[in-house]
Amino acid sequence: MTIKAATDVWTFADFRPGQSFGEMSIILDASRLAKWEAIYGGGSEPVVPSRPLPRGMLVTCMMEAYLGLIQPRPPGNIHAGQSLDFGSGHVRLGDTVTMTATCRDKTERKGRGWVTFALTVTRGADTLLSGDVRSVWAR
Amino acid sequence: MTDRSDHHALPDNLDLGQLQTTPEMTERYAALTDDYNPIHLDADFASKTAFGAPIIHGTMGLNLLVESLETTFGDSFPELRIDVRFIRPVRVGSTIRARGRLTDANARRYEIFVETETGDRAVEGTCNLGPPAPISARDSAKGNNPEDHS
Repeated sequence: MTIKAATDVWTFADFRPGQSFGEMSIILDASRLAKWEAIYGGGSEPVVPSRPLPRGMLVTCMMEAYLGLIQPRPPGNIHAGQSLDFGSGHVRLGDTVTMTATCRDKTERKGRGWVTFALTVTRGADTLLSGDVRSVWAR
Repeated sequence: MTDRSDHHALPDNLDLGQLQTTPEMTERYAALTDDYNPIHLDADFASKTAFGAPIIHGTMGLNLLVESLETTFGDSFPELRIDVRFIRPVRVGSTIRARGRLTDANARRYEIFVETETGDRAVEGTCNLGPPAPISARDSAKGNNPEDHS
């Protein structure tokens, strides 16, 4: 992991392919499910521990990690694209998922600094979701 | 439930997903992702930007696509890869629709996109389905055996 003062804003120059930003864990509890269902529905079904949770909840965990692990950041970054690779595993209420973030690549095109971040969402040894966030990093 | 991830039965279109976005919905999504960027939440701040008004989080639309895939394939949801670009901001208050069209049955590929009520695309890309999930995995996915994950 890169040693960097917690108050230093991440700049395009700071990123190096392969560098890790650490990991964070989230418990998929009833409060989190309630927020999801208030947006996307599904609240009519009984909440039982054995019920698989919507896979989109993993995407929200991925984004929370992307934003939380790479801080502070400059205003004006552009989220330009994203990939998502879903495995076959499910999560259920009460599961803990762990996210990692690394820098996959960075490049300059037409005066803009593009950074690709690789994110994973795992439960134990099971990779539930992985994917890239492609950002134009503000200068 | 009909197995709709089998290559013989892939639907031509994904089930339609639709959301009427609201400021309250955007606040909930901010809480889910811990993304409190004022461009999504603060009308005064957003009015001074090029967008002119708050815009929804890009992944709110992306997750509507994920919801459409889950509704379409249900218990037989296969491994899959989504790749999208966020091509246009969507103002809070807009209605968004998630759609998908089968473009290559052999490759198990869908064109996927999110559009607003005016038909303007906000998100677009592809979804490639993996092989159909084995029967045993589907039984497990139905929640019949909650002990099979750690």
